[in-house]
Parts: sequence; C-alpha cells; structure tokens
Amino acid sequence: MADALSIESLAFRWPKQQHNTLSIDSLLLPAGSSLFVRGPSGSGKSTLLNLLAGVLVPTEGLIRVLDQPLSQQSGKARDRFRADHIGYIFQQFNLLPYLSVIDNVMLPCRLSRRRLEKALSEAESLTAAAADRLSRLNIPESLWQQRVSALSVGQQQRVAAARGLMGLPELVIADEPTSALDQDNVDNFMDVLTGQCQALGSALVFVSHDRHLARWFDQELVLESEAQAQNKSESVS
Amino acid sequence: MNWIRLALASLWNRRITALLTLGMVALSLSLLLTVDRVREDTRASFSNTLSGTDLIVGGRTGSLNLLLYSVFRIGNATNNISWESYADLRRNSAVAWTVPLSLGDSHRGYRVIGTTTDYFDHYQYGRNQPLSFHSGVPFDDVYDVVLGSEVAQALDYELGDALVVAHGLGTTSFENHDDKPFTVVGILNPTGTPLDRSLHVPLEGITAMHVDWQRGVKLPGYSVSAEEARTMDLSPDSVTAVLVGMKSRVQTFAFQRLINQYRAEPLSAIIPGATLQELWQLIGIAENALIAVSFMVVVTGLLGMVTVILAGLNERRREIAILRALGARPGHILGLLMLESGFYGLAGLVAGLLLHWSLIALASPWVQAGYGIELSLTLPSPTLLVVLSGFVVLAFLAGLLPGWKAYRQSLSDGLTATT
Repeated sequence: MADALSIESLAFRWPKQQHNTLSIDSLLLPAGSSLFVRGPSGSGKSTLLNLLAGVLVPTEGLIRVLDQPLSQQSGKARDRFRADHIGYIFQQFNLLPYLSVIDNVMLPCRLSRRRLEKALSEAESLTAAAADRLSRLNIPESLWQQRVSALSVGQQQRVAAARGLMGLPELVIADEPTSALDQDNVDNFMDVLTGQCQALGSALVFVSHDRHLARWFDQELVLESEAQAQNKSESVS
Repeated sequence: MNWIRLALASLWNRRITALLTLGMVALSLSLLLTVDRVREDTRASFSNTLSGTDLIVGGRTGSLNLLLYSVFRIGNATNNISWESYADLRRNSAVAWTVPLSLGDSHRGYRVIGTTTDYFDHYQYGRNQPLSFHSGVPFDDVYDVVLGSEVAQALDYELGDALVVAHGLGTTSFENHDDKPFTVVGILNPTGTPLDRSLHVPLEGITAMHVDWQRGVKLPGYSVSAEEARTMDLSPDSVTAVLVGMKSRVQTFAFQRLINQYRAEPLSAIIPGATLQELWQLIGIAENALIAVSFMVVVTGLLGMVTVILAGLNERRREIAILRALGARPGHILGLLMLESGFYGLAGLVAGLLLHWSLIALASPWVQAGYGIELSLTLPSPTLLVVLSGFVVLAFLAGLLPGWKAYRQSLSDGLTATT
C-alpha cells in the first residue's frame, strides 16, 4: 500500500521574506499510521498543514500525498485532490451553521463524487454512512437533526471528526482540534479520533502545541520556532 | 447543483439581511417598471383618444391649449367661434364633415358636451374605431342626453333617468340648470378615452339651458320654462371648437392656412397628430427626468446590494475556509458570491415585477376614474425587457467585486482563518 505522506527537502518561504518559515529534510508516514506535529506558535505548523492540504505550494522540495506529487500539480488538481482524499478538522467552528449536524457530516460526499461512491460502498445510503460516522464518534442520535448551535464545543469537534472521516479519506489532517476543549473532553476526543482513524484505515496528521498528546501517535515531528531555527543555524556556522 | 443549494442555504441563514436587500432591489426595479408603464399608457391613452379628425378649429388660442380642452377635456376655452364663422367653414367645398362642440357645463364633475348627431357618426378613437351604443339611441329631442360609459356606471344611470346639468365645471356647483332636466336616451360603449367621462347633449339643449342667462349669471326675475324654451329659436350663437374632416387629406394644410388667416374672426386650426407631437416634446423632458431618476434608483439598489455582500464577507471568512477545506476552489468561492448577487438580481426582478403589477392593479381604477388613463397589467415594453435582462447580467457581474475580494481572502487565509 502507498505511503500516506512523504516529504523531501521541503522549504517554504513567504514572498519577500529572507528566512524559511518552514523546512523539513525528510518525512515518511506509512498509510494508516498517525503523526503528531508539535511546535510553538510561529514554528510553521499552519503552513505545513496548508502545504499538506495543497492550499500552499512549497518554495523548494517535494511533497507526495498517497504517492501523488501534490506540490507539482495545478491548483485545480490540488483542490480536487483535497476534496477526494483529505479530511480536514479545524481548531474550532468547523461546521456550517446553516446546515443540520447530519448535513454537515454528509457535505464532503456532496462535493466529491469519489467520496460519495466510497461512502455508498460501505453503507446503504449516504444518510446511513453519516449515521455510522456520527455513532462512531459518540454523537447521540437525538442531536443528528439539530442545528449546530445546539451542540457543545466538544460535540462540535467530534462532528467535525465524523465529517473528516466521511467517505474514507486516506488522510485526515487536524489543526489543534483540542485547543478549545477541557481535559476530559480532550482525552475522550483523542481516543475516538485516533481509534476511528485506525479502524477506518485513514492516516492522521495532527498538529498541536500540547506535548502530552504525543502518546496517541505512532510518530512525532517537532518543529522549531523561527527564532530557534535561526539561533541554531547561527551557532552551527 | 450542490453549490446552488449551499448558496441558498447560506443566504437563508442570513435571511433578514437578504430579505431587506431583496426588498431594496425589488422596490427600485418596481419604480422603474411603474414609471415606464405609466409613461407608455399615458401616451397610448392620448394617442387613442382621437382619430380620423383632420383638423380641430377653435377661437384664437395656443395649439396645445385647443387640443387639451377640445379633446382631452383639460383646461378651458378662452374664445369661442361664432355660429356664422362655423357655418362659413362648414360650407367650404373641401370639408367633408364637421362636428361642433360646445363646452362649459358639467354634471357632478363630468363634463357636458353640446354637439350634433354628427358626433356619433364621425367621432373616431383608437384605430379609426367609431362610437357604438351600449344601449339606447343618439339624442333627438332638445332635452335628451347620451352618457359616456363611465358616467353611466359611476352614477348608476339607466335609460329614461332624468338628470340636471350644473353651470360651470367642478363636482359641486351652486348654480344648477334644475328647471330643465335631461332624459337619458343612450349609453355609449367604453372607449378608454375621456369620452367615457362625458355627457352629450344637443347644441339646442345647451342654448335652452342658457336662454334665461346672460354672461354666466341667471337673469333675476326672468325665467323661461323648459316647455317655453322649446318654442324659441334655439340655434346657438357660438360653439367652443369644431372637429373637421376633409374630403381629401391633401387639402388639410391649405385649409388650415385658410382658417388661421380667417378675416371675420381670429381662429386657430390645428392638426391633432402634429399638436400631439408638440405635447410629447413638452412632456418628454419631464418623462426623461423621471426615467433618469428611476434608473439612478436602480443603480443605487445595485450598489446597495454589492455593499451588503461586501460588508458580510468578513463574517463569512469561516464559512469560506470550511468550503476551501472541503475542496472548494477559489473559483468556486468567486462563483458562489456571483451566484448570490445574481440571485438578488433575479429574485429582485421577479419580486419587483410582482410589486409593480400589484401597484398597477391597485392604482388602475383610481387612475382610470381620475385621469381617464387605462393602466395595463402587461409585460414591460421590449426596450425595457432588454434593459431588465441587462440588469440581471449586471447583478451577476456585480458579484465579481465581492467575489474577487473573497477569492483573494481565501488565498491568503488558506485553511487557517481564525475569525
């Protein structure tokens, strides 16, 4: 089976800036396994996520996602690829307030034919597939038809995870999804997210500044802040 | 298809703002539609009032004034034509027919016209349509009256009813010719012209009403009963205006010159169509100003709509980031906003049309009664339809501005918008 992710001598620099915001020599994430990316703010975590999702392209180097050289594809192809293969979970406010909980979960399949077909291959209907994801993430059935505003933050994040796993994406990217949760909810969320990614065979890239979360993951990547990186390179030279 | 559903759901989520914006667009469009409809229908109504008449002759006066008071019952005559001059012009060999009109009296706000039975034979409106009777016959006796359709309907008159003519114009008059009542002998079919709001009596009837009057006042201590008046000579001294039909149209201009240079008495002759053109030129200025204002209101509505979308954009950064994460291309975001602004344009047009039609339906009876103009419930004129489709296209294109801003925003925010 293909690797979920491979990175070779990646560097990203915003236009008109002298220093790299982010540089990674090499990284390999096998299919279905999980990666914890840790670093302080300003260390390029968000940049990395945008690169992996194909919203940004690296200044140098190569990113392969599912063996596809994502960094060399056109913007349109990268957007298509994201729709088809990547589930994305934000820090907060993941859900569209004007759709019901279950409609939010079905959204990826509405926007990607590939994910719709995959969802239909595992369940009888799209609604059944969404119901499966919601129950896997412990969302009580009474909430499914509710408006998003009726949910607690912890529930919203789990619905977002359910949406991220809809239609069996090969890669799930989570951008500090636990930062707004209290400790009990964090543990609960981490348990179901990592558990279900494993159960459904999706690789997981999870970004956080909280080192305690590392225990849920197969691999860990530590990013340094720009200042640290500079200090280091200066002391070497 | 899914994008349209999402755009609509998103719009529904902001429905109060959306509804107000839609109302703004609809109101601005209905103003334009209504102004244009009133303009079209006023023109049509004026042009349809008289046809088949080659010349209108009256006492020396402005040509517009003569047209307005003789045909449209607007304003008053300043001078009359003496009966001798009228007889003289009727004798001219180029003249095919004449219809004398004597104005100045009224019945409950409706004008009374003294004329001859030639009126019913020669008066034409619209596209050379002659008058026709809904019931009854033309007047024959001195005290017979023929009603326009609206007079009969509004005042609930039937054949055989008696009515009294008031001296002068206006809805209420202290001076009535109540000693000489008239009998309804005929009711005309509707014509959609000021004629519907007129009462027609023989010239002799007008004279009979005024035999015991002098210079607009009833002579004190002298009264002539209706029956006594019959025995007197009732041929009129003067008439207010004369409609003239020529034997050949070619002679119209020569005859008009002849009348304008008439030596015995200062007279004016006008060609109705040409004078109507003068009227359009005059009214055209006001019309154009109104249309220009309506257009500006429509543009204001469009600008307001773009402002609303632009102002809401910041609050929607989250929504846009979520859609991007789900695979929306920046182009999708641009399209989504164009769809929204186009929706405002299209739905605004539909709502504007409905509003316009209900306005016309509401105002139509009132305008018909007050001004004799029939407002029609129809589609906008072809020219306006082109303008309206242009508006819808423009509404879609107007979405480019917020769309472009959202496009740039979504590129710079990527998936990490924090608002």
